[in-house]
Amino acid sequence: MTPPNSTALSNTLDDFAKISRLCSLCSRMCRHSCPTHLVTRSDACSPVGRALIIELYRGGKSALTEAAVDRLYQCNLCGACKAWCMPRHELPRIIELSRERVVAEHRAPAGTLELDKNTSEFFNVYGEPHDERFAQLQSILKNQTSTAEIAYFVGCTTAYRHPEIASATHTVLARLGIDFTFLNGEKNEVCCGSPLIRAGFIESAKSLAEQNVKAIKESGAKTILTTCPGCARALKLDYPQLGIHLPKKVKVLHMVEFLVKQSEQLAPLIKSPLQTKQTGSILTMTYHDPCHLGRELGIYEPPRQLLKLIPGADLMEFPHNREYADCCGGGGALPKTFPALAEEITRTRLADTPSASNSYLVSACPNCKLHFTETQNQVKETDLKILDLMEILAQVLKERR
Amino acid sequence: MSAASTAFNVNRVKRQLEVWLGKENVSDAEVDKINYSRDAWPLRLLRLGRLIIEAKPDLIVWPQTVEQIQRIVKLANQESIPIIPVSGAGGVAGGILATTGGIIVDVKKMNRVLFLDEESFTVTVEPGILGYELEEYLEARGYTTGHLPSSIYSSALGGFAAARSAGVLSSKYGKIEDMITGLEVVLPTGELLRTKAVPRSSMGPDLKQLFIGSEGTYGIITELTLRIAPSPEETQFASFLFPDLHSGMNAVKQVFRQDLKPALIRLYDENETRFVLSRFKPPSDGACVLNFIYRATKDFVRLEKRTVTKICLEGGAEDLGPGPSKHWWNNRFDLYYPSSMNMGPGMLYDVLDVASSYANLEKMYWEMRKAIEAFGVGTMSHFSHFYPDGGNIYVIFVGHANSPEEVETKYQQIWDAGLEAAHRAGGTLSHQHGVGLLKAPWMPIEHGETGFALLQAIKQYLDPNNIMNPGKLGFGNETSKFPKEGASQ
Ligand SMILES: Cc1cc2nc3c(=O)[nH]c(=O)nc-3n(C[C@H](O)[C@H](O)[C@H](O)COP(=O)(O)OP(=O)(O)OC[C@H]3O[C@@H](n4cnc5c(N)ncnc54)[C@H](O)[C@@H]3O)c2cc1C
Ligand code: SF4
Repeated sequence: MTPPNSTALSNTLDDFAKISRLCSLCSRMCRHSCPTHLVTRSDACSPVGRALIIELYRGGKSALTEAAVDRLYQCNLCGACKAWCMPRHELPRIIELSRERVVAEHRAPAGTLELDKNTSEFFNVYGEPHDERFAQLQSILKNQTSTAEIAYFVGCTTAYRHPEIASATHTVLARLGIDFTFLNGEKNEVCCGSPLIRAGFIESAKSLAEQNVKAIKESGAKTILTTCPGCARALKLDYPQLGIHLPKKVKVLHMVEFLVKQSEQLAPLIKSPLQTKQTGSILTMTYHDPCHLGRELGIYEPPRQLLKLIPGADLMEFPHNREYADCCGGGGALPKTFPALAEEITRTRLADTPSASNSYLVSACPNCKLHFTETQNQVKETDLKILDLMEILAQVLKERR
Repeated sequence: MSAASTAFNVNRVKRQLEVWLGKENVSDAEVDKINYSRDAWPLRLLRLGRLIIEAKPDLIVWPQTVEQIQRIVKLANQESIPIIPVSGAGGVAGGILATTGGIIVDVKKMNRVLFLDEESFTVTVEPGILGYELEEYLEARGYTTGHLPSSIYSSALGGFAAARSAGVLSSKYGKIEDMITGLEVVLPTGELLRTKAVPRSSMGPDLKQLFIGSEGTYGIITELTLRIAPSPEETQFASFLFPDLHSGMNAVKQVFRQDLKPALIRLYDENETRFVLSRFKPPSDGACVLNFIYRATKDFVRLEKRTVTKICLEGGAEDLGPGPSKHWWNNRFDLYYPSSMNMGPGMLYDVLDVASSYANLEKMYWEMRKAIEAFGVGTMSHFSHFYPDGGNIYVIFVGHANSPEEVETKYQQIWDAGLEAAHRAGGTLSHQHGVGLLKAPWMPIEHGETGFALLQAIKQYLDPNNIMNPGKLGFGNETSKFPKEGASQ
């Protein structure tokens, strides 16, 4: 648990005072890109609105009231505002820091307390038994060496909700003949801590980060691969910010970064264009940029380059793509705090998918897949096939000879 | 005309509104009210930068249908509760400030495109669609409204109409009042007025024009039909450097005399020219840049470009190529992001936007500059909306004062002196930014006693209880030119 009223935290929020002040006085130049504003259409639920709430709080003019906390948590932290901000203000970071204050003042929303509880008791965001983290991956665990130089950091969502992404990743790496290990068993991968950092539970996140760094060190791996942009961001950017460092020689890569460097080996392994079982025709695909992978890690082209390796693949783009991509709705702990709002955002993104009929919606993030799939199953407005990029690749790669 | 009562039973009204609109569409939360106590009026922002809380509404509502708005307005009228319509909240004159409390009616949830009439080249929309959202929708289908003010992100269609805005390409596409063919308005008593969306009519005065520019004082705009134009086949840029303002202005007049309508004609004074050319070349003293954007079919652009270039060169200009004009277009929003330069302690800034016929335009410019610079602040100006008979001036001032009190005094003195000079020179006191609170005291001066009395009589007829946006446009009994600091805390 986070200690109450940690002054170090408030100093951090003050470090960004100039930006939160300027944002609070902005003529709302990025409001049109804010997914939660576009649903609520409230000027308080917007980048400027949140910045003003932070300024009022910093200036002693407003306490963190229930409404103030709500507005601060009604944010996907997707970073779309940054793309539209000429001075490139890091407003999402400031909102994260304000959430640390909320947590320190014991005012965190119930949904986020559950996240904190789950990760501290079970080391995963879903509150599932920790010893079942790899339960759904038994078949692929069998052939793993435990001493490989490459380790695959699976992450909570893949492990507990979308293990097929891990299976597909295993297939892709196996077809490429790449030896890798999991951080399972005694090596003990736990939640990367990203959801906690986003929700303001910084001390809990630190403890998870330390466990992961220990696990990675003990594994002896030199390269950590992950299919989850949230994990990649945590390991690459958040841990150093928390003062927790991986050994210098350890590289962290999202799988698309790793694979795009293997394009030459991949291309000849691709057996045929994607085909539907029903029609036999080539399918169109739309790539959705995950917020952490795109705006936070700046990785836009590698996933597209990988999809374009598939002969005849028709790669479509959302009207808002790359830096301007809209969030899937799953970011910033929103599904935990304001599930209806999150779902509405997911619905909008699904509805914006070009060529919605009988095509693939591809992301490179298990959380995007989770939210897209859950929402699609509920609203049944499209017949999109929602897949992770690893699943697409696994389908088209043939066995190496 | 007395302002509507500010003392009403907020809880009871809130409960009623929640029944009609749903709980999630009504708020009296303090942080929401503070967020709705500001638009983009620099004076309000300067105060907000000091965390001064003022002009808060009692309630905010987000209706989704016209019927809901009618119900809200009827209730407010019965109980004399002030109503303040809000669209983008990007106005620059304090038009949405709830100086007497009341209910903010934010129309942004009414953001649908109702009908794209590709045969008639019109689009019918609800008032809460942001300028950017509408342009994005139209662009995907090969159209544009051509209404592209620098506030397309900040403002919505209802506000564009209510504050009588003008886009940066107004020379070609016209201003908002030229584009709107039909309006629907909920009157202050709750009745619905719909004007026919027709290209023109001679059945008496044009009623819709009464509401375009009424800034929420005559009713709430709930639907608009606008003309659209095809997305341009070709866009080209051109910049010329004239030895002085006068020769630049002459070239502009010649362009209109040749019956041409470039989408953009933008003439900078010597001060802003230095700024505009900072990344290109240092200009000689007094030199002024004139930018053009041509947007039309390829053939027409070629013709326009050839003729305009000839006019400018014959008028003594140096051809700078497309660079400065293109740079401005691609970076035209940059100036509007907040910066420490204007938001820092002791800083004061704003823009006076006035207009006049060519006969007075240059004289007005020089007199305003003299009047404003007398206060020790810097100015830079441009003429950004030209018509066959005249144009506007956009005078930006930036200065410094030693205390917050001095900032406010100086700010007010500059506005008074600048508008006084513009009035003396025969100009209108606002070309595009509207009146709000900022220019409310100038309404009788602008319209003359008879004109303003007529506007007031119309207000009295439409809104007998003065519930609609009290105090704006000078309607009401507020005597101070600016709301007192901390009013309606
Ligand atoms: C960055 C920036 C750039 C700008 N550039 C330009 C420009 O290039 N050209 C230009 O003309 N203006 C410009 N403006 C000013 C501003 O965009 C215009 O005044 C615009 O018309 C305001 O629209 P809004 O939706 O923001 O209105 P709001 O601020 O919401 O409201 C403005 C006024 O209209 C009333 N109102 C709002 N909605 C309704 C409604 N539905 N029915 C009745 N009354 C209503 C309000 O009560 C208020 O009095 C700029 C402003 C900013 C912040
Ligand atoms: S992030 Fe940039 S555009 Fe958004 S509110 Fe802040 S200053 Fe304005």
